[in-house]
Amino acid sequence: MSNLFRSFLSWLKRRRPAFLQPSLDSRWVQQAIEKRVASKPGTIPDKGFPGVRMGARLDGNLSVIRELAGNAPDLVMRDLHIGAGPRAAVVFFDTLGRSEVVANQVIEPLTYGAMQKGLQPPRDPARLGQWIRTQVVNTTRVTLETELDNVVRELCKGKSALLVEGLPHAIIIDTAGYDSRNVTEPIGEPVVRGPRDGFVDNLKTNMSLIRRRVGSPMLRFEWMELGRWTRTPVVITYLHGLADEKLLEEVRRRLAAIDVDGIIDTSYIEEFIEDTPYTIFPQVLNTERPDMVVASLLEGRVAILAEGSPFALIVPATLWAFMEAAEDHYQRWDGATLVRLLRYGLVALVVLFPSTYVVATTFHPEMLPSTMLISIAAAREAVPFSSFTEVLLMEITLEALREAGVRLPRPIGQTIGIVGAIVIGEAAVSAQIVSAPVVIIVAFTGISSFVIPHFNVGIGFRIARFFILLLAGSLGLLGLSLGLMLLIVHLAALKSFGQPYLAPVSPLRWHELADTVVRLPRWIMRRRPRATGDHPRRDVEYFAGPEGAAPERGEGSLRASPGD
Amino acid sequence: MSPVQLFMLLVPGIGSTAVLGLPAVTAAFARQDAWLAPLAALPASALVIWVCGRLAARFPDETFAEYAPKVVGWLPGKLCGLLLFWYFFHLDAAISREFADFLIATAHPRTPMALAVGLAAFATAVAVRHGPEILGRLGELFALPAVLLILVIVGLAYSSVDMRLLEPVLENGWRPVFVSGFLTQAFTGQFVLLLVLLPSVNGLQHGVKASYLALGAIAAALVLVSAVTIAVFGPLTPNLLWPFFKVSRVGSFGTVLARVDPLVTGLWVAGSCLKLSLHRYAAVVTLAHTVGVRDWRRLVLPMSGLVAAYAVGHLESTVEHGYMLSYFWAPYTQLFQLVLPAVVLIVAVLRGVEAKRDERG
Repeated sequence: MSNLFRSFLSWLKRRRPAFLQPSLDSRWVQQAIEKRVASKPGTIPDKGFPGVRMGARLDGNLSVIRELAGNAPDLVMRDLHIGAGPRAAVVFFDTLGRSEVVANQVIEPLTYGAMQKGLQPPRDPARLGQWIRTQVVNTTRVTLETELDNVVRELCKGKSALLVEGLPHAIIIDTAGYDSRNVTEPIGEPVVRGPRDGFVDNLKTNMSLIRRRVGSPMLRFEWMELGRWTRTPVVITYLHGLADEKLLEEVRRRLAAIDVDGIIDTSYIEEFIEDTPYTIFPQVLNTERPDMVVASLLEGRVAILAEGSPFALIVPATLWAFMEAAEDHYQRWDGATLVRLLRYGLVALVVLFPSTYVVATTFHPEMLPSTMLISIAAAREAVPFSSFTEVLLMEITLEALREAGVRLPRPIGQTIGIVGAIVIGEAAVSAQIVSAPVVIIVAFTGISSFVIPHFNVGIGFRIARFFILLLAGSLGLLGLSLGLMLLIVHLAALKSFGQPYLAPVSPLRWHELADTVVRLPRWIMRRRPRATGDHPRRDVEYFAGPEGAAPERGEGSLRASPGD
Repeated sequence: MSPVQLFMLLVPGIGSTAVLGLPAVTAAFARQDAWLAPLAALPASALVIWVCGRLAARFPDETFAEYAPKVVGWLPGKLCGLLLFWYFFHLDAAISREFADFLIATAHPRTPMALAVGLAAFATAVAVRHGPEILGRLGELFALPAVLLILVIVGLAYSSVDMRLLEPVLENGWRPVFVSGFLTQAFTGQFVLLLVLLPSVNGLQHGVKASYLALGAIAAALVLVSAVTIAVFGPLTPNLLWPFFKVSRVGSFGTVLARVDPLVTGLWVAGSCLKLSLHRYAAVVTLAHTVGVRDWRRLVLPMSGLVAAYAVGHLESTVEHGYMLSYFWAPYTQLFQLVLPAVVLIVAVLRGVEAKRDERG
């Protein structure tokens, strides 16, 4: 019964009356499109031309496409004859597609090659299309598109459309290729030991960098387009079976809700998918290292890539993830642990050192040992400002120097360093505008803030530092501890895609602690960390050594070996 | 909130103020035997936890103010809810007051009390608004530093400890020990918080077990703290305001930090903020459930203002506060900590009231 019904439907589809199928053959449709391009171009990216089909007449199709692209100088329309048979045209943007590929793979086989091999193009249009796709054209990705919208969209992505006289659809041939940066070492996250390739601005290359590292077919890429005008390809990637289904659903939901004119970089996406927009702490990790993305995928996280951005987003992210560098996982665990502990200590200093100095000198001089107190008092003797003002002045100077150094071209950047060090540091101290201890403290804070591996969380801590400094300068110890308390409350309440920001420390998850403040040896981490849900055991035997604990003979054995 | 979180929340959340001021209060009665007082208070405090646990077993998903009307009738039930609210409110104000007194006496002599109390009230209101889950996480973050702090203070004061000051043991028999145990019970009986906290803990039985463990930990800490304080100051202890804080003044880190007491003050501010927010949460939730406000979060900020105002206004001076703690506070709090829940439990058992099976899920 249902078969009958289905065949009836398909019959109806085939037999749809001509006036219900607007096609580019009709002069009336062509005029309507031209009018819309001229008067209301803003509606086209949103709505397109629903239901409009390509026509069977080559000239009508070409003129509409030319009209839509506004007679673009980079739109190439190459006329040709297939073999000795029907007329055809290849249409593509030569700024996106490679001309030589089109010439070698499409035009040459269709014209010269077909003639030389004596191939006869079939007369029947349906068989002609089939013949072109399967026997003539050399490229690998060839599809058919019937709707005008899809054809134009594919053209704008760098593909070529082969239009044939008498065929009511376009043959889309993937010839996309454009210049992009080579895969180089990531500038922002260099390592001494570890993989040296970084993401580039090309989505395909980035996907290949990930796929190369994961042999399992369970690696998934989910493709979507974001941005009304830019239609930027965005890819969600995860390991099917490791990533939590609820998390994935949430990622899809949040991405699908994005409605903007354009996505220029993944940072645009980041702002839309954060849990808490009003906070100084980032909740989405970004990295330009494919190895870091793969490591995160193995932890059950989800990564988001976008065309034109060398930065992948990783969710969910915790504070500890922001504080770890890729290097930590490639160096030996003891060294990595030491470096991490140092890093956390220095971050505490970044946030608290200036304000502690202010509190100690202004409110609680009894905290300091007397010799230190005397030397600080001597240094501050001729300084006209309170220590709070001093610290604030120097902090602002430091931030200005840092920003100037980042933005300037390298040769001038060194000048800034000299100016900063000599003029502001040395001269300000000898002119007794600020005291030497303050310069030391602020400089040390500045250096400490550079050990934070991820720049954006560093900014968060720097803002927190000013906030606590203001509280400490006005309320002393009370302000310092209340500020710290508020900071901790805020951090504890933050979430990243439903995952507590301070997990696994708070809430406590014992078996994930091995990779947070410390990094314990890899064979201790027997359980997979899991963003949500339970912690499946990794069914892996870690030691490849022999079964018995002590060797039977030889070194380490009680018994003498024959060689001894 | 997991049972582990509950444990780590209760230890600093109940122990923080007790550690600081208790030895002076207990030493006034028991002298050098004051370190036995927490042990004397153990049975009664365990009884409080047991009563709360039994009530929670009857009504696993409800707080005290919700099930009290079902047990003792509508009007008396609401009155019970209000009484419990008043206890939390008064205690919260008293803690605020003690916090401000301590801060002004030790670190900031010129800070107006209203400012200190108000700021603490605001900071804790921020924490409370996030709900019990976040309070549990804060507990996890604060518990370890709090315990470490006590150990560091004890370690630094080690050279001044004179164990002979603890002798003679039980000079006047058990009576003074039990009297000071009764005073200690005012602190350790604060486990009545469980009436509000237990519904948000996953796993009731484990939650109650965690509470017993927390009581044990707190009692151990109090014994240690009292013993060390007495061993350092001896017969002087009852005359000191915050004797354990004075112990921290004895020690130093040599050439790095001459004195650790501002550090102690700073960390203790955090600890008492935790305690403040815990009781604020209990007060707000109890009031909301008594008067039937659907979203308790809306009451947090106004309640914090009220607590701050009451804390500043309800006592004349530190002396009055100390007097209140020694002579009036213990019997007064027992009414709410032990008598009120026990009466409700007895009525519930006699009338056989408990949550319906399907409500238990």
